[in-house]
Amino acid sequence: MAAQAAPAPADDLIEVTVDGKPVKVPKGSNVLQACDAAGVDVPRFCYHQRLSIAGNCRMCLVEVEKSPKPVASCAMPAGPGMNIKTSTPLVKKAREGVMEFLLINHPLDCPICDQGGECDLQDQAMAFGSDRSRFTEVKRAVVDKNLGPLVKTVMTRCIHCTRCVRFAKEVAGVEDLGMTGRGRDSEIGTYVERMLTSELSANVIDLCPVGALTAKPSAFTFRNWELASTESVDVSDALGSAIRVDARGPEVFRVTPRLNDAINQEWISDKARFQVDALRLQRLSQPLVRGAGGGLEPATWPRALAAAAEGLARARGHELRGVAGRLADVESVVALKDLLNRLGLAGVDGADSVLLVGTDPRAEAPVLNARLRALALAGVPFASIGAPLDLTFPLLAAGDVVREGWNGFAVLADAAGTVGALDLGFVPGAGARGVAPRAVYLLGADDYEEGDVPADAFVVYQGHHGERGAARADVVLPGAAYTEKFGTYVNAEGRAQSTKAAVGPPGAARDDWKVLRALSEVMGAPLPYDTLAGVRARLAEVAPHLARRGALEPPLWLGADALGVGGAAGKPAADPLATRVTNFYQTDAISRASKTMARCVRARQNPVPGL
Amino acid sequence: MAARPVVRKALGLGGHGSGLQQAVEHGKSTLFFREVCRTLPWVVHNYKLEELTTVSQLRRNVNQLFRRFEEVKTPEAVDLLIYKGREELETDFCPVGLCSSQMIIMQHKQRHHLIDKYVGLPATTEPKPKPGNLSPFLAQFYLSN
Repeated sequence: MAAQAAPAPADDLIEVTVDGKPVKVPKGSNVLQACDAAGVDVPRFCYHQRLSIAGNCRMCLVEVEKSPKPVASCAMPAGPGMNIKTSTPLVKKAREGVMEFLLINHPLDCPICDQGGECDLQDQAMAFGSDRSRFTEVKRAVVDKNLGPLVKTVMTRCIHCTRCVRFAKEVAGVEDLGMTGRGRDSEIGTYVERMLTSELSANVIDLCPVGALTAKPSAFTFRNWELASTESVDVSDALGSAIRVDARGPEVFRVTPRLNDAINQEWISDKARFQVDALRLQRLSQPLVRGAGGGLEPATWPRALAAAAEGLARARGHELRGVAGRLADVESVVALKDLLNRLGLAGVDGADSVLLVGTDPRAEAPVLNARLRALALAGVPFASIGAPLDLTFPLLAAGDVVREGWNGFAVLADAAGTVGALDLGFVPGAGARGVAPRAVYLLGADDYEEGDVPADAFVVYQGHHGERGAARADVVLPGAAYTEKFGTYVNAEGRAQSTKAAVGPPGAARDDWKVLRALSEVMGAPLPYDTLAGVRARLAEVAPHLARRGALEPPLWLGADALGVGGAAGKPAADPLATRVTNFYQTDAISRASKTMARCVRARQNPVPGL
Repeated sequence: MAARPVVRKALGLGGHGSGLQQAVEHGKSTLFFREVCRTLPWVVHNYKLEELTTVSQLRRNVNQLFRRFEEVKTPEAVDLLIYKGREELETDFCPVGLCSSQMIIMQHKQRHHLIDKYVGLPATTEPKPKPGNLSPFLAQFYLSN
């Protein structure tokens, strides 16, 4: 995923003139791209740089010299010496005319429309439209479609740009949406009522230039100008997509994708977008200590830390075990590792063929799957070993793909915290093997193996959602979720990125590394850092690449011997190779607590209502 | 501490009369607390707080806010606190039709104001950490994030 498009060589450039300004663009560009390169803004609805060209909204009309009529700039290839004009009376009149036609059937319901304030049609009607209409007939009305629990439709607002149709077909790889009818009767829909089946379906909400497709879970709950944005990183899968977290007061209301060409382009999965309702459900907001009656009771921090310290102190040396969960950030993992010590993906864009072993990228990282799909459509052969898959693109037999002398090997981690914890060497020490732990520290770990936590062990759980781990624990220490802290996560490629705090942690919850730092002091072995900068300096000592944020750290390939595979020792596994993610929508404590994700699971079981 | 005479006059309270003393003893604040409690179901419904808290939890939190002033016994001070509480209630909390002022039916506080002030309140009161044997980090940790 690292390869960027190299700049075109000079002889592949052509020169055009936009509003009197000469500009050089690569051969094959269209007139609209030439205008963008010249810094001239051309209004558009249907054109999108990552989708095919439709040319049906007609909003991008410009004047080209020697052309008898205005031309749709998105559909017209730029030619050498072309003289493009975007601010002539002809262009102004053309735009006004197009806008008048679009507004004939568009309802005037901006005050109750969730797109209001960030609507392309609203903005462009203000900038390029006329102040009156000559239309005196009755506006048309269109029946709303049921597209499932995520996408709300108000189809009367649709202007038929077909961005959603093209996205579903070209990027998501599912032919769910289409246009039926002609002219005034044309409608976007699924033909028979069924939900969108893609894990990327909610990206059509961002693509829709009007309020026809909006977010169903957050309908009517906020206005976009009330929200404060924070640029952060997604932790719902191991891809680490770039996201923008929008919050009002102490609540996160929306997550939208942020452009990052190297990782997620401009898409995010439905889970990343809509699991945020769980950030206010099932939260651990105060320390809990198991009381004499056997139940967890609210406690103060000093009392909870003292109880945790007392329980942990009973274990000696290797009898103390730490388990880091799927959402543990690197700072807290290094703090836990230091505390325990004191007490006792490679790039895919350049691939020439790809063999997937026991993985289902569609469930584990849907945005990565969309990129693999683009590769497959470009002719790169794909094959899979393991359970049969529907990846939205064709797979070949493994024998046709594997070649002599392969050197590419990449592991697709299935959780955001996995790679970071392994980078820090958070693996059991040699002496710990075979020793039953008397005390276990669960750092956000809800998916632990039963064998890791013996029934008689003293358990401390530190995390943000009350789930399996907290229910088992003797002391619960409330931590912060990924939208509430500055935490480093390493994605599947080995790219260290930091989340940013958009809101504060609820109640008495604290940043995770601070909890560990405080506990270490109560236990009489204080960790040597008091600030986030201090923890990150320590991180840089343990794993220097974690200090280089956003940069790619290629994995070190030690050969098959280092993994203990191959040679005479290799035996075929008894279980079939299959992904560990059986339910895409519910993979960790946050997504399991989300009502929206639960609705998605139900809808996925019955995609066509009534059947 | 008794309020200054000028304040008492401004509030129309007069001096330390036996009538006022009686009012405190009979639990003016208890009556006000009950009034608040009666509005809580409406508050939870109107601000869609069902997913964050329950009426009984909210009642416990409000109770704590009242108990924060447990040691206040001076009738004038109690009256002042109730006055301020009523101001808060009627701009946040009052169901339409129960109160008379125009200010009341306008929801001056939004959902996140209520969450910050009443829902996010920890149910246990944190004791002040003892200075001396704590490091600056731990002292700050006990106070806030």
